[in-house]
Amino acid sequence: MVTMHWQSLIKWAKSDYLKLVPILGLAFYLAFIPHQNVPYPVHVDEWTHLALSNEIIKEANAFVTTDPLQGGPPVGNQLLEAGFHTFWAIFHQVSGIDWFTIFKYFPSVIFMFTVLSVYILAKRQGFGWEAALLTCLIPTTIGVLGPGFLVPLAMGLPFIVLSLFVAFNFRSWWSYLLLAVFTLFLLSIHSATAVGLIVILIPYIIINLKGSFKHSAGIALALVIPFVASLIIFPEIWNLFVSTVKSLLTQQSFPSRVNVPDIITTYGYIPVALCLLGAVILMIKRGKTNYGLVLGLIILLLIYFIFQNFGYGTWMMYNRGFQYICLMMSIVAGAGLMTVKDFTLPAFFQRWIKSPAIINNVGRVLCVVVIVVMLYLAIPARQQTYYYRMIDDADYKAFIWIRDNLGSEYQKAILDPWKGAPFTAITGKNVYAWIMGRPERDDQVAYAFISNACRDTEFLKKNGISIVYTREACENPDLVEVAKNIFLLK
Amino acid sequence: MKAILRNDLIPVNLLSILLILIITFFPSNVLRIILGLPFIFFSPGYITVAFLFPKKNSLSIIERIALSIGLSMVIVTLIGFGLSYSPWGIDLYPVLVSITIFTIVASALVWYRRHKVSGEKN
Repeated sequence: MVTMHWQSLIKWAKSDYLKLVPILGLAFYLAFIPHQNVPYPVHVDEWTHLALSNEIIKEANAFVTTDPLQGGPPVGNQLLEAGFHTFWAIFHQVSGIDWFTIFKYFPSVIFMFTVLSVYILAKRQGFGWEAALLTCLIPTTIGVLGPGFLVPLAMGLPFIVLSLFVAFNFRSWWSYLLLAVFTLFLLSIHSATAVGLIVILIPYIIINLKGSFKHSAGIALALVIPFVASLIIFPEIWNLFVSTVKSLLTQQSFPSRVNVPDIITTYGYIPVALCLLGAVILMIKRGKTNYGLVLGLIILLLIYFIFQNFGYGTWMMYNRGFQYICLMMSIVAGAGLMTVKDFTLPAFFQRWIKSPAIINNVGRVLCVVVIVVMLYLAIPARQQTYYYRMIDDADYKAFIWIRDNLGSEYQKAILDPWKGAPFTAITGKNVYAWIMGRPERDDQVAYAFISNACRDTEFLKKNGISIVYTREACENPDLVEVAKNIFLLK
Repeated sequence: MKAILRNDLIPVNLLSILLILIITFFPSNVLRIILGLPFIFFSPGYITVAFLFPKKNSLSIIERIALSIGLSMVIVTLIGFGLSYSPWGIDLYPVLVSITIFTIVASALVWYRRHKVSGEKN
């Protein structure tokens, strides 16, 4: 009985599940770093998504008719990412969890789900926990976002993986339906990720044309039908589609708005080396799935390289493609780490080293060393990554005061445009200007108004502004201070 | 028949009904969070995965869990889209009732499909 008990314990200890628990813990921690010691959402995109999700609750409709930030019709990604806002609006309503808790902890929860998805995909290829571990190292930066933020891009990553899992492993009509549903969902939360999925799957579809034509056609239809359907249902997507196709054929000037970091230094030298090893091993092993994984990654890298060096392609696929590349590199690098783990001493060395313990375990020891060094380098690098803070406690208290004390007769405010998105997210009121990327004309006007001690009453009247929030001097007799730093137009 | 109606479908449906009761009578209860998480992140997907893959050995437990989480997120969002076109809109009770109805109807389909698959085996 005792022997049996120990045997089952050893078996359990050797199982992947035991390794998976700390890996999921690591994923949670690494995605939590940007939110450590901050009670508020961090990235401007997070604040914007909070405001847009709140708007869905306010209007009780996924396809809202107004822009909560500046008023007027919906803007930019508001409709294109409606799925993301709808999901979190529903989750907030049903669970009763407050928004700040959702934005603090759920990037980590979603990232754990991404890592779990990678595990199930790679497990069937024989390197489940290895790929899951490397996926934890996907970086998060302010410029290219990542799993540390609750944004559509991060929520789309696990669905790329689940779609690959379904495409690689199942061939029934139900599985194609499932793939189509995942594609539709990706289109509703982040269309660039849906395009990323198609790009990754193109080589696999082509490889399967010979020998498995039906499978190839099934996957292609599952990807194309949701696209066509969404183009018909949402004309906005059609316009975006046409402009994207046009941009593919014309050389783009390299936008300086977002600094896309270097993949090798940001993702890490060891994971990149493991990815190269994994790619070679998968190609040697052959098989349609292995080819599909490696060629999918190569196509993503090509798109990235061509845009960076020649300016052909789309900015969105270049900027967001950074995350898809890191995701695919992690999966392929899992094969590399598996190769290290399975390494055995060549026969030549076995003549010199007689100990079976050394001969049998050299790969495992090497694998542990690689993991320890990799994490030793990666974790501090992730901890030292810079993340800005948009508001402080004084701003938060002022915004809450505005939300609780000012009625709908005071609906539009002017303040530091950098704090515009948090202002709307907390108060539900419009702002004259807010910064998404770099300051634009309206933002400069707002800055000029504030730095001029808010003297221009005509400007306020002309733009329907009744609230001024500033921590600088305000010398306008038409404005009355109702609370600290909060002024109302008489 | 009893053998086919496996125990997994009953707790998933009970969970949904229990959550509605808790939100109605104790809206600030911590149970709302505890039950709300699987209600949104697991139940609808689990039932759908059970329908799509009725055979026990077609997916491992962990694969079933991962697909269930993913599909739940998809289904909840699509239900939200559907409600947007309805007179009720995206509000707490329409959402709760719609997801619960989806879960119950899908459970019936799962029961039927499992029964059919089991019949094919025999």
